[in-house]
Amino acid sequence: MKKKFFMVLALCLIAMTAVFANGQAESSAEVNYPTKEITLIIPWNPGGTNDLAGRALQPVFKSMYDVNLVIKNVPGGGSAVGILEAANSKNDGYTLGLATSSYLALLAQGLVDSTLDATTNMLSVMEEPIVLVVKNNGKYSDAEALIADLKANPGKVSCGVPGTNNVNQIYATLLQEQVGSEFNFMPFDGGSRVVAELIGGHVDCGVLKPSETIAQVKGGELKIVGVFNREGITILPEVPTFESLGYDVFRLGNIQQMAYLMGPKNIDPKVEAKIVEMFTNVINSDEYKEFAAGVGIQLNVLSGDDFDAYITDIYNGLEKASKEIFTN
Amino acid sequence: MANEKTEKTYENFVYVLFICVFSYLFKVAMSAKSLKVNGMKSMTFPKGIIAVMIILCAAKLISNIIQAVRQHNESGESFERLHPIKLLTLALIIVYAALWNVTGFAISSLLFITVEAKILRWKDCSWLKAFAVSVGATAAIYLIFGFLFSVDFPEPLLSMLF
Amino acid sequence: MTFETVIAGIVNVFTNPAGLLWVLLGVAVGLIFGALPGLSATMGVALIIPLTFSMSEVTAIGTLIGVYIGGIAGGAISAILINIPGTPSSVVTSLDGYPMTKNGLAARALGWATFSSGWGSIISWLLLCTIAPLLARICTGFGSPEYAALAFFGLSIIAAVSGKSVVKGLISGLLGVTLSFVGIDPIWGDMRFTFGSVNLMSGISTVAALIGLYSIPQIINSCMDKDNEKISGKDLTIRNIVPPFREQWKRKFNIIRSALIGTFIGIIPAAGGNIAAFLSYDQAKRFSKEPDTFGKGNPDGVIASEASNNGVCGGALIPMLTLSIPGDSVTAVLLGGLMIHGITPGPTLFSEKPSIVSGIFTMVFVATIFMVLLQVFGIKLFVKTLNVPVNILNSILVMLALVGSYAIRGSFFDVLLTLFFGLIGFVMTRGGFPMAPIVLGLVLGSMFEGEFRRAIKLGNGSASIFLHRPVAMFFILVAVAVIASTVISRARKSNKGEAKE
Repeated sequence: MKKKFFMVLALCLIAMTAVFANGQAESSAEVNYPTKEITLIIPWNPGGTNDLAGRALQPVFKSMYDVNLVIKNVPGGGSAVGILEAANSKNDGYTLGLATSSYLALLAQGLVDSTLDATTNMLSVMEEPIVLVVKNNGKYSDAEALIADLKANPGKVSCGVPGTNNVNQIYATLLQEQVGSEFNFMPFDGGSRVVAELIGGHVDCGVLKPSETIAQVKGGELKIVGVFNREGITILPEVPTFESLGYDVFRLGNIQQMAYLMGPKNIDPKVEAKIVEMFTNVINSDEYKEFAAGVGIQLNVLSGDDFDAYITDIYNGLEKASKEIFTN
Repeated sequence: MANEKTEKTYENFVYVLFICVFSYLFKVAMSAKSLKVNGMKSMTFPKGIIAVMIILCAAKLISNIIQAVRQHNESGESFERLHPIKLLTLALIIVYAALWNVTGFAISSLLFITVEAKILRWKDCSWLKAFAVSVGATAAIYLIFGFLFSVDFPEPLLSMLF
Repeated sequence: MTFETVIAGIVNVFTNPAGLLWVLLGVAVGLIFGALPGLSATMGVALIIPLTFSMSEVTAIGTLIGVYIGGIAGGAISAILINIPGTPSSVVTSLDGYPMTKNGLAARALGWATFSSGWGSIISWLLLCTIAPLLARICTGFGSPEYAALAFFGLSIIAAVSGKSVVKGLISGLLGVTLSFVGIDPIWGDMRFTFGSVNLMSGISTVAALIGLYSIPQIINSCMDKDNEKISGKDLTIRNIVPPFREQWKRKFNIIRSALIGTFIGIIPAAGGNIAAFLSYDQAKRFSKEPDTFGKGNPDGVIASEASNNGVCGGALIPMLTLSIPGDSVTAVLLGGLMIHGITPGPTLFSEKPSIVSGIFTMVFVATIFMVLLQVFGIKLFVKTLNVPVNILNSILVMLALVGSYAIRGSFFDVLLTLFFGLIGFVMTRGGFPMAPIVLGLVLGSMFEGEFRRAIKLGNGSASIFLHRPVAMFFILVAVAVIASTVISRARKSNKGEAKE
């Protein structure tokens, strides 16, 4: 009798475990998301690179997942208004935001009443290395010529920066530090204005993102003479890194201008996993990759621990920069 | 529109208001943290413009006062008070906007248009007509702005129902 | 670009009826966005972009251009009928457009606006098609000294839009300039007058201020008015609406000059439709035989404003297509739209995809024609809004004004901003202060300050950089001449025994 009892009990336990195990797997694979449209907040005016990168996701989301991705532009405060709106929205996973290092820079300077941990930071979308650009067939034929002029004439070489106290300015400052001289920084409203000033010969050089200059580089108006990262630019492999030219610009860490997907705190981890999965697949699709290559965006999808380390690195670097470099 | 005395009164009010506000702004500009930079500091220009503004307003105010004292109100005009309905409208507009975040856009709009349309034509417009117009207009705005142009209106009450 | 490819591009457009319908829809959407305060052409274009994903490239761009051209032209409708400019570019249109409505000439005012917009667009289109690459050099030729000088010139013509008192206009202008300082300092990045609010970090929204300054005073001051005389459909014949060709020919100098000013301003990236409209209005007043009628219902005011703000459309496309540099905020979105479709504008576009370029040119033409036609047939409908009884109209206008400012970026803060400006505008209007210089100061104030400081920085701390830049010196000297002539003419007027102002 006892033997039979224990056998039945054992069988029941085994059966229960089997059912449970199956049940667990099922519920984690079939989280009920998304059932309606997802809103992606772009904290900039329509027309910029980040806005484009967001909009180009729409057709791929539709074709791959039959999901409506709605773009909502919420400009203001150097991206603070939009990201804060995303951070304060309902945490059901249907409102997300595309933040950039500009937001991290605001956090690091203490200009926004929030912290890095106040939001769910999910995955990085793209990384745009900062490049040094000059007018093609202008004063300088390469980086060395420019650096020589910079050394010889401190404060006389003008450098156009789109905005102030951002990653662009950090790298130009680190370069001038390494060279032992000083640029004459000219802050402008946006990358395309710097491009216009460069072509017109009003400023000697500019620190920009490749996506802001790719059309003019292809058209022969501008020339990229150096890039502030370790790997170079995939679409323009002949551009030297400043590291290879002998200037270590990574004293504050590997700060990069990048864009990442974020959402409010306390999103259901299963929903978060689904979001990461969907966005990863969409960004890695051929269609999206083709779009990125065409506009000069460098995709860089990181999630999980890799991404956490990546974004913390950048944030720490920006914190150091805000104490040492930023003018405010 | 309004007669000259009314215009002058409002004008002087504006001067007094501006002198006070701009003096405050000047104080803010003076106490702003000054950065160690070479080149024009960020508050230089604003201080200049604010100073010009204060001087200009003060000069006009003084000249108006002198002129009024000299003329002793010869024209015999009197100050036209604001029509009470217009004042009420102004107050209602402020209340309407304040209610957006309390009762939501839809309900505030329904209330506002109904009340406002009625009080502007108390005799010729019935409450029912005002309400009908209100429903139509609010619905149209919801369709055009809310649905077509994806504007998210604040709806703290209605969102609890749906 | 060979002749065959050019013709191929044109033919492509006209043999695609579905495409043409999309452009028509785009223009219609644009007109609605332009007419409703708070909604802008930029928003309209951004909204339509997802719809264009399934279209062919040229149709997609054509639809977006339709929204652009319609959006800029539509602002005149509300400016003229209800004295609330639908877009910043049509602020100046209301100066003479609304008085014309008060005089019972609403349909004719709208007709002038329509045809001026059309001519402005066509003239800039002609320049776009013929000498775009050459004109693009103007865009890059403009550096900080030139921008500063242009802004200075813009500020100097405050007198032209000040109405009867230049001093009050100056005070309004200075108010606008002070408000433009709010936000992040353009050179050093520190916060100015933001009082800790993240919403003020990007400055005061021009559209929110515009809606507040114009609509609230207008609504309150007119809410006890009698109803307008009913306009019946019979009075709105084509003859009443469309200005006779003879009349248009008489005013050709105004039309062409304004269109050229608009094209030129469009080519320069940091300047847009509202600056163009102000400059053209001032020029039209200067060259007019009866300058004192401006502001009281002179059609030349409407013509100057509308021809130039639509001239901006063609002008802004020039640097966008030839150098991939957007000429204004709408072309920035247009540029994005092109890039999403895999087209990268710039020097390579002309050589690698000439049929697309000629297709785009054709679309600008088509969109312009549609814009004129839709408005001519729509005017009958638009004017009927004047038949609505005042109590209903004004109530709805309040809602429209607040919704408009909310719709800018979904922020209640903008609604508060509009109310704030509404109160200030109300008190100032009663005190005889003009509203137009406030907008002018708001737009040009920070532009002048930022560019001036940049120019000084570029010149390593000395203002002598201006002396080496002929274009900048030209604008500065013209501005000085304008200020001098204004002072002299006002002094002469007061000597003749006018009021002491």
